[in-house]
Amino acid sequence: MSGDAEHDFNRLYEEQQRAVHAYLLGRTGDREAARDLLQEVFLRAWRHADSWRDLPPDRQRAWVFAVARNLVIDTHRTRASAEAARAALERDAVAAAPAGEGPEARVELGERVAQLDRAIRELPEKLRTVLSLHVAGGLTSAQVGEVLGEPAGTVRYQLSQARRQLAAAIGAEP
Amino acid sequence: MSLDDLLDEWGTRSRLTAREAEAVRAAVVATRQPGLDAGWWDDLMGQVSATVIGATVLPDRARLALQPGWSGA
Repeated sequence: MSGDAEHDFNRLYEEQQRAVHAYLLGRTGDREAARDLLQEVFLRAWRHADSWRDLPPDRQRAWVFAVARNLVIDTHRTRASAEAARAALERDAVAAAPAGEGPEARVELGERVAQLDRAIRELPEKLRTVLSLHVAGGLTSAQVGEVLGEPAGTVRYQLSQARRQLAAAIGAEP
Repeated sequence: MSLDDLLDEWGTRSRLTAREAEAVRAAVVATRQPGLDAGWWDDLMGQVSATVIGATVLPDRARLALQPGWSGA
């Protein structure tokens, strides 16, 4: 691939990887599986650069998400590692708590985030994907709607539903 | 903590770290490009050979023999 093409690829990756990972996280409910799929998505982008390089930015995003959608559909992986990943997240949640707080606060925060993570995994896939794109991917309701082919109002309603279900599940204020 | 705070924390921990994201990018670009010109290796080796030969002290007649169009005269 020429230097220009690699430059274009790096730009595409930098601009889209966070949202694509958030989408895959929402679809799979598994951070590590989402990372593996992310690599596969961008491997296809790298190998088929001629398919997207001349498209405008919004179409490039649509191209990448179309690949991600197809990969999720094609990939019916068993989730043998899901429990291990969940346990790792829970351990990380404790370890990665803000350093400025005391050990008790870090443990409590870690437990609360792990509890939230379990509740998110229990959400219907549609709500989980919308929530992940918004929270982890940093997309607005309108951008989430573009990715999923839904009106922004529908996305806002789904986000509200997800928050209500999570609040009920972990005993927090919505 | 409020639900918003917990969701922010969850989002931060769920995202790939900069190091993880870079590792994925590097793994992808390290793969060979199917669109790469099949003759690139020959071209590269031709340039390397020319550089090596050019840097080597050769007898004048041997250097002349490497010039395009040399007829052996």
